Amino acid sequence: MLEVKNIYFQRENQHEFTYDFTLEAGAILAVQGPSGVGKTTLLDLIAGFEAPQRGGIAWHGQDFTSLPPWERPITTVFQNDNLFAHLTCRQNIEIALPSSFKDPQAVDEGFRQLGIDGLQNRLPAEISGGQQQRVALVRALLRDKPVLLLDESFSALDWPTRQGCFDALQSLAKDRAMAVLIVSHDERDSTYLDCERLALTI
Amino acid sequence: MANRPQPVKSVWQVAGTGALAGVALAGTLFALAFAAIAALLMATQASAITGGLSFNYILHVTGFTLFQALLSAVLSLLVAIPVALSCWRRQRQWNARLLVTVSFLPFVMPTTVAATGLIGVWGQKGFVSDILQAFGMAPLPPIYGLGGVLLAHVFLNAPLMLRVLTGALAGIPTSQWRLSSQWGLGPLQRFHLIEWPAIRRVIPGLLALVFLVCFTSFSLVLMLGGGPSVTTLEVSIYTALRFDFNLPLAALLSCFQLGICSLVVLILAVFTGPSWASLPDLYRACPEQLGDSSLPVKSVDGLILALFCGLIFLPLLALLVRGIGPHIVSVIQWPAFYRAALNSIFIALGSGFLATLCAFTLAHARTRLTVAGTPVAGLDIAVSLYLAVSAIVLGTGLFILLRGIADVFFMAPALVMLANMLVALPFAYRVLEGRMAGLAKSHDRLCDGLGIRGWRRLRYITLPAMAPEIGYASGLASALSLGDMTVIALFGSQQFQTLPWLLYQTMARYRAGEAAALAVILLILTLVLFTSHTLIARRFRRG
Repeated sequence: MLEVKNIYFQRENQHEFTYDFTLEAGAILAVQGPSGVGKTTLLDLIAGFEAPQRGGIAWHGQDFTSLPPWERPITTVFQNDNLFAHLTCRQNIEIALPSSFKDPQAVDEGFRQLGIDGLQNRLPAEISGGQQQRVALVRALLRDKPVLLLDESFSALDWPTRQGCFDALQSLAKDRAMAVLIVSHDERDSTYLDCERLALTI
Repeated sequence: MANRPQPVKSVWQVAGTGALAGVALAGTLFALAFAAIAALLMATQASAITGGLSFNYILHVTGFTLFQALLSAVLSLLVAIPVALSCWRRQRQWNARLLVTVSFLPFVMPTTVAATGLIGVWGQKGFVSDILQAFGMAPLPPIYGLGGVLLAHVFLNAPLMLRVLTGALAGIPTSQWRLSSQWGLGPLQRFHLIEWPAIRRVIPGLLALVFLVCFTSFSLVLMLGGGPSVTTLEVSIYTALRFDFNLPLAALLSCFQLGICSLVVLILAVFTGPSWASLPDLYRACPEQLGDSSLPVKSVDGLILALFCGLIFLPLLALLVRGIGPHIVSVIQWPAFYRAALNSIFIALGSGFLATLCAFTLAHARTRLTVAGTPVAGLDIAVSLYLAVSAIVLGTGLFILLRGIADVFFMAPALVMLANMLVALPFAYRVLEGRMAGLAKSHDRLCDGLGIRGWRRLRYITLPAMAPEIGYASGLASALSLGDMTVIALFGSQQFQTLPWLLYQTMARYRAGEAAALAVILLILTLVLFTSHTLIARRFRRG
């Protein structure tokens, strides 16, 4: 279970944010609210890109608030710029996997599951924005971290493609008992995912 | 709710040990520059200006140096602005693309080669004189003098300005072009409302940079100046040191030079614009404007581009025509040629590699310290210092510093490599620093989130992503070093020569044919060196 316990965060001369919630393994939580309400800030705090002034974050009771981003049980798919421009799609995935990972077929399987098979050896500039996001999602899933953060990762996709991604996401979250936080502006996303919602307000 | 005091991390913990290496390097650069300057100041004596050389002489030399540099910078700008506008309007035409693509060439071209080419076209026995005489007219007057120096400075610097100005025009949002087209603005209105505001921002910095380049011009003035009346501070320092053996005077002149250059570097720091070093974005589609395809506008553009192509390509053509042939066969039989060529390549590769390594280390430190929220002005100043401390000033300082403790002529190869590396450093740094900062912005979170750190990040992410810039920076630094004739003029001897120095000496012996042949070889070597760096870097990027 992901526990976000009374987190307090404020940047200099800006709004203050407080968060307090829990999320079960295998569940999906849609974070919603208008612009500037702190949706991305919440993900940054969980991922370790920002440090809270008070409170703590834990996974299955183990506090990881003081850990750097690379030691946390977290993987993130950002809104854009998820891929390294000079690496092929396959290299973009392999570089983020531990050296002990020895299953090249799993990468191909991930591409197949998300409907982007055949793009493995292309550069990011040679595929569409939506396809890039799906490559990033394949990588996030293969990294096998228990918490997945999606920061408006699919907002650029057309609705049928987005539905396809959500289907894959739902089944994988359940199979692997992942906790998924998804920031979205679109009401349809949470309705389709039929998931819990966290509505943030200023 | 638990209170969580933020762990206090030192700057070095946040920025990493790589930043520490950069700061240490910046400290070394400061120390070296100040040691050279201190040596100059200690060697400076008021008595230097007595004994035949009056204070008026120094004032005259300083005044002329300022005058020719200012005039060269303004003339280069006046040439570059219309060419940049024409290139931008005709961006789909092959000649406009070719001009912008090869605009780097005069900048990396050895100045001795440029001078040889210009003499081949505009000299009393050059192409133009040949044509005039064929029509029964008098040949051109000798090129030597202020006119020749100005012509050479425009030849070398107008393309550099063209590069920056087209970059500034590329930065204009497409919507502005579209609006101007919808409103039916004419060329003059468009220039006033859209083009001028974009290029105006880069002009002060550009003028200061070109002024600095012309102010510290050495070999062109030596080859085209034509006598004591047309001499600059750089040439006077060289004369005082190598011919008059007047060390105090050389030191005094160096201090004058240093003072003025420092002032210009300060101006340069205030006016920052798009980097001259970046590749111009002429491939971004710019919608054609109303009136662009009208006959008068097309004719004017065609004429401007043709004239500029003539200015740039005729000297190269003259070199090839005069240099390729029996003279090359003669030159490649000289033992001195092989010694000079090997020395040149060795020094160019060494100083190019060192300049790139130092620039990379400093740029890395700058980026990491910026992320850690630490001021980075010190790093920038450590590099910009070597724009102010020109090669001849640095060389003179090192000469004075080392002559008491070592044989400077024995150490010449190492000193020339070091000085060339330091002179190329600001340019290499400028190429790398902006790109690295941009990469940090887009890669930091991603790499941290994915756990790609340290050596892995450097090897698989940073170096491949920056390969084009690294190749460009090292190619540029090597090419600048290969063409240098300043430091070698101080430390060179019969035993230790480089190709530019051999070319100068050949020309001084009035062996124009062999000089042209040497210039062709030097030009080819420069291009091979420059492009091979770029190609190797691309290969590395592909992995």
